[in-house]
Amino acid sequence: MTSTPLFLDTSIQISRRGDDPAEIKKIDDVLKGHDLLATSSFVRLEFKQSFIQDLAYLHRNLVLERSFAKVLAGVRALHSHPGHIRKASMILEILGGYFSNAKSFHSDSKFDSDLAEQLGLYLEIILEDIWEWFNQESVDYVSDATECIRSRTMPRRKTLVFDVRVEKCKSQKIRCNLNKFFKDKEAQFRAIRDHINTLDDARKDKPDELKRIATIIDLGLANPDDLCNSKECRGLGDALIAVEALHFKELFTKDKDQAGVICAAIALKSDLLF
Amino acid sequence: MKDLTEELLDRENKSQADPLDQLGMRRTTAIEGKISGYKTAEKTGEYMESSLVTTRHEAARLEIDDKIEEILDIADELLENSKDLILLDNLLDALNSSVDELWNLRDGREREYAKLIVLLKTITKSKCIELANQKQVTALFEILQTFKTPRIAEIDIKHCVRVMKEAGLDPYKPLRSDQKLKIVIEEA
Repeated sequence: MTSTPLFLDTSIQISRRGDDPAEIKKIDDVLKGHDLLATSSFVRLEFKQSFIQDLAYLHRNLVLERSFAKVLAGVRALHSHPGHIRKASMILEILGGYFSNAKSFHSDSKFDSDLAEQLGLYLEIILEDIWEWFNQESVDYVSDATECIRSRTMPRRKTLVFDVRVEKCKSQKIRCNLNKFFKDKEAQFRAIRDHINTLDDARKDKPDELKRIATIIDLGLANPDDLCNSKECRGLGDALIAVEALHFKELFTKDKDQAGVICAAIALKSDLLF
Repeated sequence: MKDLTEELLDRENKSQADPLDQLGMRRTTAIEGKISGYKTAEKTGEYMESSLVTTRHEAARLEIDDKIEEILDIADELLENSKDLILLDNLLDALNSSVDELWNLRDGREREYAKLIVLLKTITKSKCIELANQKQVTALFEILQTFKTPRIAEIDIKHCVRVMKEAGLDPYKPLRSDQKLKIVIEEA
């Protein structure tokens, strides 16, 4: 066993809860080789914004619609963000398969409403547990270098459904430490921006997300306080995670750009899960 | 043959029948005031209805209690036969059926009762439990004992989740299932 810690990014934390057993085994094999697992409050924010929001969305619809078939049809019909919706419908199909052991059924049957009720109760159990899992069970340490205030609100039960909203931050009223963190780590952020700018736009090795990170770093270099709002902070995402992970020497991710571009720019060792 | 509900309703009607009514006599209002629980003739229909509901609830309760008793017997057997893997597998199957039956009787109980059943299904449904693992079988036994609680509360559910995790039983398993089912919703 090595003595080096390992920093887990959002993609890994989500996979640990929602991926298939083969993928989980690959992750566990990597985790076994490390004696200290860490993540950050910013990863927790992203985890809430994606995975927990998906679960709460499915829970709310199952409770209100009382029909598995209707909720599944509704999720499949959404097209606003293909990747995101595919994830929610996949979760629902997996849960439906697990609890029903059926491949097809009539949408107005008692079976359908019973299944919706069971899945609603199941997701309730999970939503009441997942915050504790993230903070106390999934890792040994949750770093909070940015003192992200938005990452601190756990999912709250509001009568029938869960409130999983993420509050907004504004540069006019700074409540976190992102500006100071950025200033302290300016050299690393600058290195990430410079490395992104060397990539070739035409060869499509610079996706929009990376371009956006470079633009936001420019904004921060001009005035770090401008980063302290929900929009820029979210856009900085992968760069912020990588710079915070530097303290732990090694980052574990499923994101090719994160590992290949951002980590490479700041000489952060990365474990990429294929 | 009468079913349980009819039998209980008959018994209740017999025990509550007013002796004055049986003699063809009517009570005065003054008498009505003195006799607690008396229903006026006009309210008889309403009374019968509420009595029927109470009896049905009692019948459902009794049925649930019987089913829970059956489940606790299975729990005992699980512990007693913890080394016989084939027997354990058969018991788990029986448990799965009983859990499904408990689910069908959930209307007579509190919401957390249904929640406990769903939590239990995460263990029994796809046989997520390792039957050779004594710690896991003991955890299942402890969770099943929770059904003895007259009124299951949120704190009991949280305790069961903790018991599961400590034994290596993963409540998140259904989210990570490798059953690649494509569910086709048929039109009614």
